Amino acid sequence: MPDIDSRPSDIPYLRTLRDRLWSRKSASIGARGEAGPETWAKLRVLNADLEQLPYTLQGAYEAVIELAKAQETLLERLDAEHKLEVNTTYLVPEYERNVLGYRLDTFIEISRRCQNATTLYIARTLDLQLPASLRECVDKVVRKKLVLPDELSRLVVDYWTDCGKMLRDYRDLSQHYLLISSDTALCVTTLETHFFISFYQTILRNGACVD
Amino acid sequence: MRRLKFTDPVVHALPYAVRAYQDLYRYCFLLATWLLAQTGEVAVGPATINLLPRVPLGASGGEPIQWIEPLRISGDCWRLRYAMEKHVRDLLANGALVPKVQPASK
Repeated sequence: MPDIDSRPSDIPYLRTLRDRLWSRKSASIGARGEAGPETWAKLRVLNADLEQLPYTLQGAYEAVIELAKAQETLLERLDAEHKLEVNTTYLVPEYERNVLGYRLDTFIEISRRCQNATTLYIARTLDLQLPASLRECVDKVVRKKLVLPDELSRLVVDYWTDCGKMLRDYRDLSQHYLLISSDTALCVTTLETHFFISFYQTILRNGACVD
Repeated sequence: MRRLKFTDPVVHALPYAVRAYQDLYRYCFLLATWLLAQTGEVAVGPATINLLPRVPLGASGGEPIQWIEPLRISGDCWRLRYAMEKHVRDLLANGALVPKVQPASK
């Protein structure tokens, strides 16, 4: 029975897989009895490979929550200062925009690391030499320079096509070209009797492409 | 000289981030399940990967997800947290969607 009390970033099957891989790989490295420096070095690399994915997946979740909290904090402050009026757009000042932007940047960076960390698990499980970047991995699969089992290949390529590439594009934009949350505004509208506040912290779609 | 072209300037950051996280989580979830089966200690039901539907991003690239209501003025972060937890619970608890992991036959 799956563990339904998991935290939103937890994957029970990943925990089990990590345990299995650690047990098997550490045994094959020879971590029984007296271990020399070379064995310890290999074990450190194994541990580094296996801890990256759960760490970054949790990090991505925490970053989303932090972004939501930062938005909420700003909304509360503006409301307390009576700056929110219906049918208006509030341009967020640069200092506050930056505070929000850092959260978004963190999410994008750590999610990209998480994408790449999945290749470590594939490589360790199937005993393959894979590129460190998921983008390169997908590229090789698509060009048939890397052959993975059909189901796995489909899973990886589908993820990349559906949304993984867009995340990578945002990360590259922020890394090399511009602030992806440069335009941050707050629009206040009414819907029936409720206040609905949409937070337009805009990010440029991969539409910001490079010639 | 390289130039940037701006074609679709508006994507809402928080709904995008939530959606991107969901997709990343789903990918890791299926990957871990499939790889675990390869260790030979468990077996995954047939066509596992087809069971979770793919939902490509909308034309806007980051359209809000139905269950994310706009954050209201105060005290609403819990809504997001609840929705994320529910997403995970649904993945894990819904028998129709979750791969059946069983002891491998010898």
